[in-house]
Amino acid sequence: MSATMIDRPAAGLRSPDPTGGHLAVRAALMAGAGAIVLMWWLDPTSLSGTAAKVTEAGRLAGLLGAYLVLVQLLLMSRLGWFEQAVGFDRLTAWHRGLGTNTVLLLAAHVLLIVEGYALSDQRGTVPTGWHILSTYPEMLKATAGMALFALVAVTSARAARRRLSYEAWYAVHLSAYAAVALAFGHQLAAGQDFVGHPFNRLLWWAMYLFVAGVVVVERVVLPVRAWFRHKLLVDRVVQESPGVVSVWVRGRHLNELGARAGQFLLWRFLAPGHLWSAHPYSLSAAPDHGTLRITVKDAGDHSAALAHLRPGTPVLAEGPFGHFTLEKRTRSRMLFIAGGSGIGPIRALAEELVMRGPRRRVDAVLLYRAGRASDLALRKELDKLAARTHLRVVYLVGHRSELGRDPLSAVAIGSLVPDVRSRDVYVCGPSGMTHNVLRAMRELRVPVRQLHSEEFELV
Amino acid sequence: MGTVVSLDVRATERPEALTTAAAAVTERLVHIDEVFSPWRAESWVSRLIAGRVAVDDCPSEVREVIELAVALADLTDGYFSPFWRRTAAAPGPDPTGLVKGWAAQQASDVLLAHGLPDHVVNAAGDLVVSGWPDPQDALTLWRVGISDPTTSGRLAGVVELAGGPRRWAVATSGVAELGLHVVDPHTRSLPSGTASATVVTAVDGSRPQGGAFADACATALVAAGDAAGSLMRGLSSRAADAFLIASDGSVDDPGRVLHGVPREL
Amino acid sequence: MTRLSRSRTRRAVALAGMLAAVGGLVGVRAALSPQPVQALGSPGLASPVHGGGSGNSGSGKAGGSQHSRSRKAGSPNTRAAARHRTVDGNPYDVGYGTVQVRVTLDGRRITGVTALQLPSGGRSSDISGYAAPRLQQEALAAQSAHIDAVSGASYTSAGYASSLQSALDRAGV
Repeated sequence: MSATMIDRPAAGLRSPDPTGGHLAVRAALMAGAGAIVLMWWLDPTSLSGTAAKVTEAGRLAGLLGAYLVLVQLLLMSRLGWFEQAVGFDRLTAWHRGLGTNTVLLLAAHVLLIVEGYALSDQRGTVPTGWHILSTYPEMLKATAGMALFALVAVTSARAARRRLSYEAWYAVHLSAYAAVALAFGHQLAAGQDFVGHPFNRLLWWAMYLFVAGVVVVERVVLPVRAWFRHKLLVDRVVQESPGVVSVWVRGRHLNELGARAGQFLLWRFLAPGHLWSAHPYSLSAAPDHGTLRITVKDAGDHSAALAHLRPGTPVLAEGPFGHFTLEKRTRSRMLFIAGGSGIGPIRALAEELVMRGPRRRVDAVLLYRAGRASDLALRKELDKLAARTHLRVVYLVGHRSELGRDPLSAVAIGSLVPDVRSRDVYVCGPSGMTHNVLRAMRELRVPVRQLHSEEFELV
Repeated sequence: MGTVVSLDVRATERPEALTTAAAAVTERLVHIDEVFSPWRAESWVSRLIAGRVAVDDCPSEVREVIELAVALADLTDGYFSPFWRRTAAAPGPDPTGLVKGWAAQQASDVLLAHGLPDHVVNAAGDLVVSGWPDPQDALTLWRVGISDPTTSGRLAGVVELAGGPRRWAVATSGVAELGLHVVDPHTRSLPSGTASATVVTAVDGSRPQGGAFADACATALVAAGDAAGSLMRGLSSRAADAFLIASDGSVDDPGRVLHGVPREL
Repeated sequence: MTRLSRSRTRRAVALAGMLAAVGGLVGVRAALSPQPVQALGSPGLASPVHGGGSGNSGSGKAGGSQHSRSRKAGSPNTRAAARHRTVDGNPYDVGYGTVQVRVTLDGRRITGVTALQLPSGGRSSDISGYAAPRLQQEALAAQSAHIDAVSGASYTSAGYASSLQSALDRAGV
């Protein structure tokens, strides 16, 4: 189903991750920050007088800001064990949450350093700023880098993203890499902690090289290598219903991808107009040998353009990502709740459940919520699945105003599925709906570990 | 006065003597600064220069220094002169050109009085050297490096001085480092040609104020410009050695005092 | 509170927390760092640092500072093994700023001098521009040619010299 810009639900209702891997990663990142602080602390310069204090604060802000920038790059680098420990959605949330503060910390660095120098030179702030810019090494590039970071931050604000097309926003966001490269020089050339400190320089280089390596490998080398291995090509494009289109992708050795139903990949179609962006779309069919399918609802420029893909177009796919899989289940009985575009992964999960489980034992209920009957995509397939097995499909059609009640309230679900507490619940849909359903589940006292939901964003 | 004074004391068996001596030197130099610094508005010298007091009103040491300055002006044909910047606003005598050397010797006097005969006092390039560099080996020579005025960080050569009870004073004056300090009193403009001048003299009975002498003569040689050569030869007839380093790096060293040890640093 | 404003306040709190952490760290470090010695009128390092007496005195009010260095002539070089180490001098307040230097040594040879702090304009990049190389070269010159003193060089930074001296004495050179 299409990926739209979805606001994240409040953290408390996010699907819990029992392994706690994300805590370990968080701890590791904080330890990194601690190491940076330690490096700064061990500088023997004595801090006396306001000028020295302001300058040192500026240095610390700069060091931490640079570190956070690298962390941001790492979060989005698709590093394998990051994905496994933390999960794509959580990584995206962290990246988003950290973004503003990173840039603000860098801005603080600039202001504090300039002011600190101004105080110690007993010169005005603006002339000092100009002096730094014009005489210190690598400062022009650093300023350019800072400007790019500011641009990235500004365009990522909610208000800006509403006005910007995804492609435009993405292009600006990519320039963050250029900003990092531009700003690197001044850190080593003018940074108090690095001039004459070979060990610190080594550490800093190592840190940057590590992140650069990860980014290049994960975002360029591996996807390209994967393409040569799998040779993913568009097989056919099928119009399921008005505004809903399915893209079938064929390839080799697809089982090596390890994709499970419920997961999504980042798809980059190598065709004009699609080349520069990768979008997350969930699999809408259980990954079968030889084909993958995504079903996308027309919700914006890029998703509409999918209908025009030509068969034979090469596809780069990164992933699979997501924990929204049957592997996470704790019970043998399921409740699937899909809303609008969420039907894709839900349908895939249902199909996988049917394919992999013994027929007699499959006991699943699928609630499909839509505003109008015509919004029900893949209806025929669902009916076919239901006919083959003990999959009970219930279509909850109609706007709330018409129905006079919420068909997905705790009460409603409780009456539809009385034994809901003994089922694993998989929810996928627009954020508002998902949020409400999860709340309803808590009201019904369904144990948290039985709740699974998936959100994804365009990042 | 923005001058760094460095003491290098050799071999003491009595470290506590050092502490006392150093404190005493500090006190002496502090006092000298209070009295002689032209950057302190209320120092005797400042008031003297401004004409607010007369020489006779000043303390005895100021009077001595002024007398010294006048005598040296005579000796150097006026190229060192306490009236080098005489203007309407500054009519009085200004001994600044020799105070550094004089002060270095004063510090050395204090050290001697504290029983520390083997030392170097270096007042930002004006030195007084006393005793032996290595009290265990009477044959070791003092090696005084001379800054290359044309290239910062390089030495133009080394002056070797014999150790012994006699003290030496070495003073170097240079256009490059002292900048606008050195002005030709006759023409009131910066001299050309000589980049730095060094004077080496003994400090003994025949020249009890060797430090001041060296400082004043070095200043004079730089101020003399083209006349430096003859002035220098005149000095050597007075039992002082001097050499000039020109801005092109060539050395005029009639007394063969400077030994070339140009070292790339 | 809507979800949006809740995440916004959370972000604001996080940023405030980060800035407060930076400020706090700076404050703690400032409190713990040694106060610079007044270069003018300071007694300097009056106590012997190494056996055999290297005593020093600090600055005089000659607008400058003075230091003394004594060598124990003839003493066996007990630190003959070339040992690379770095010694940081005391910070000295020279009235228009703070000066502090760092000396790297190989055994008893000075291999490098860098200024950690210089008054007005002394920072890593300014330093690399002019001040430090000059002063470093003077220090190196003195030892490489077995020079006892240098005439003609003018020490323009009072505190620098005294801090260099304090570092040298700590190193027992």
